[in-house]
Amino acid sequence: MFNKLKVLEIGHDISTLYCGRILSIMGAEVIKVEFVRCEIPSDVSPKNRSESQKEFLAAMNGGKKAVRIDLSGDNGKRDVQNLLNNSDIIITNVVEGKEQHSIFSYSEVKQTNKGLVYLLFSAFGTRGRRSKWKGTDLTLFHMSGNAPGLIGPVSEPQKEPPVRAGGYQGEFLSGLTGCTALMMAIFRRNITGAGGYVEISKYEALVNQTIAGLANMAFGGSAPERDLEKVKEASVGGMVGAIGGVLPAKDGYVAISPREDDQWDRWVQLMGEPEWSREERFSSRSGREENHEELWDLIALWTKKFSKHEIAQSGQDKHIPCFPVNTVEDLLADEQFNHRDFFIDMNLTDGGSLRIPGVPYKLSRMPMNLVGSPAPESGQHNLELLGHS
Amino acid sequence: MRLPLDGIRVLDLSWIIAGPTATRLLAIMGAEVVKIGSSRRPDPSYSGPAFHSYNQSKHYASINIASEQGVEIVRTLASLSDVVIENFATGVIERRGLGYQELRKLNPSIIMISSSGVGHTGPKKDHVAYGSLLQHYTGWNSQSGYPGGTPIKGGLWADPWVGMELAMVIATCLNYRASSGEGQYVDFSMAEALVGSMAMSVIHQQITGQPLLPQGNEDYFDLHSGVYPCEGDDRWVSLSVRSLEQWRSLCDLVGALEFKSENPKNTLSKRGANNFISNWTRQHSDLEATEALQSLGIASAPSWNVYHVYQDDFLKESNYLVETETNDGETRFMPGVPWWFDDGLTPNVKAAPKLGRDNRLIFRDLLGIEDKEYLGLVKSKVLE
Repeated sequence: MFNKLKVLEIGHDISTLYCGRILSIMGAEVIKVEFVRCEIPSDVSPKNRSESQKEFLAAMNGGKKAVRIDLSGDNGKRDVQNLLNNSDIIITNVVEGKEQHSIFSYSEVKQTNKGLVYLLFSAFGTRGRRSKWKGTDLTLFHMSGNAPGLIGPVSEPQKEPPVRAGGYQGEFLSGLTGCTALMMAIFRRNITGAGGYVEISKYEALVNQTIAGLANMAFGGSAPERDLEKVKEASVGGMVGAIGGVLPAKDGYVAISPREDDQWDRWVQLMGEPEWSREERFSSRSGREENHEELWDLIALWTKKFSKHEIAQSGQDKHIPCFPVNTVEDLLADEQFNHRDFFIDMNLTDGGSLRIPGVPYKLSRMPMNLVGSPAPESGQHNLELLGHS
Repeated sequence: MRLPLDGIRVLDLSWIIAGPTATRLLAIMGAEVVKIGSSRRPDPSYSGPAFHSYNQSKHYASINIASEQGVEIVRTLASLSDVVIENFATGVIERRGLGYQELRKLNPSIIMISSSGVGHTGPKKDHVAYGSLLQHYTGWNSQSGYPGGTPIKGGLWADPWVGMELAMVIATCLNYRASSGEGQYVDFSMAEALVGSMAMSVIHQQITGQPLLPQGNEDYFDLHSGVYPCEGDDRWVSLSVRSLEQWRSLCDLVGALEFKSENPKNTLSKRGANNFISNWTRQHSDLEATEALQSLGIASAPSWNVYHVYQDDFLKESNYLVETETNDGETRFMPGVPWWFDDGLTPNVKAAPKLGRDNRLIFRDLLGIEDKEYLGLVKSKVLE
């Protein structure tokens, strides 16, 4: 079904690129539309980028086509109109109401294409008192309530600011959120024939990550203070107290979470039942939680003797939730990811190839276009799609 | 206005966080979600506030699926459903006789999605996992932290992220079924969901042979960015400068005139300008600073915790936070969905149920179990 869908992608932020990438993997024909003499706000323009950043953009654009249109003349406008009228979906992050952009605004396009599903990514939505505010991965992450929970040990909270997550997680999450809404809108169109306009506020997409915290607020709870150094790595990665922690190993770290009593009993067995483990204060989950700092020190005496993989494997052999704290290099070598052929080979123009992440779902029936054609050059498909170069 | 998933029934055998946050989105968008639970094996979040957001707008029926009759009832429910979702440890659902191969015999076009920590194939398929551990296993957390610091800080929380991706895949499969008539089985790996967004780190490692170090509050795609202290205790403002014009406006605002014509990427200019910026931000509240910067066209926002987010009226105005009567009879603002359809569609944001609240609706009305049999099932603890 997706191979019959034509998608126009107009925009340069990671959310739009990622949403387009997922649609391309699902089999849709995704066409990147770029304009001559019409400025589109760009987060990730490939100019002056490092090789890694250029290849990252190539990975985001794999499987897509690209046209480049000069909007200053009638021919260009006609080309755009034709594309718009023959499309099923438009995804864009172009919010600003510049006159040049009005040709692909929803209010214009819906006049001639009633079945169109239009998806707009913006920082705070286009309604309300912050609709003109600008936002980036950094600023939206900070505002969304996610940052204070991220930081590990802080010794001087007045000097060390909250930090956002790396890897543009907010942008990826927004792109994914847009794709979810879009899939629902397409499903409704299958039934009713009606298209529609869908808007993603990236701020809300990030806030939605904190729904447990929001529920706590609704029930009169308080927000946790920023963790100070005293809680050590026990709190890293959202794990607190006896629920789990990150512990030093001979060659790095290991993350463990023997939170249930039976898991804890097996963990104690694994450590060879040290004397301290029989102390009354560690006998219940609440006791372990209360005394987690001492516990962390005591467990660390044992974990430091072994490698992170040894601990993780012997823990998992006893059905204890534990994993090595991996680097990306470890990840690329991981037998589980490789067994499942998770990574995809992306061919490079010089003949080499790079491994890039695939998708986390294996579908038993629906074909996917995972590898796709290499990222297109700007305007590469003008002849095919517009009939002229 | 019709909700997109009106008429779709989802049998929800998932629990804890990732699965429930997915079916929550489906329920709010119109699907009839039938969550199955048992007092013998309560959902770990059941007694806390989070349950009220993870399970909004669902039906909740109590069935002991460790019993043969319980399994039989679940099989009948599956035969009447469009989608089944589960996140038991690998192999559990098959041992109970509820695997995809069994369910498709009853309902050939069923969509079944099985989510687990690392997927249902491979040498680690039986590994016991929690989302927070997978954030470490995948290197996801290694991307975050202060520049130059130890890269073992956290990332975004895995579970609700996975919930969003599960909902996306389910909606995709519904689309595929609408055109092909075919259901299917989905093997979903939470760990892979995290790595799905790690293209930049994965590519950098291969090209340079080195890990992409945490950039903290700096940004590859900004000319200048940072987080600065504001008036008050532990209050901060973030900003991103994307053009030289914005840089010049910022220098004017904070009085850093000598850096106005300098390259913001130059380390010395950056350090010098940062002193001016901090001196200025310290004299303002986080929101005052944000508003002043936004009025110059510079992306900026306070760095908030969830209390600040909730207290700010903006999310109520945008209808993300929706006034709901929760199942204790109180009225509260609860989270809705992070999207907006402009055609008058009102998301179905309702309270999370109590366990067993919908037993009558599901067992008598939907399955047609007679009163006498129903009472027998309660007595024999099949429904509990």
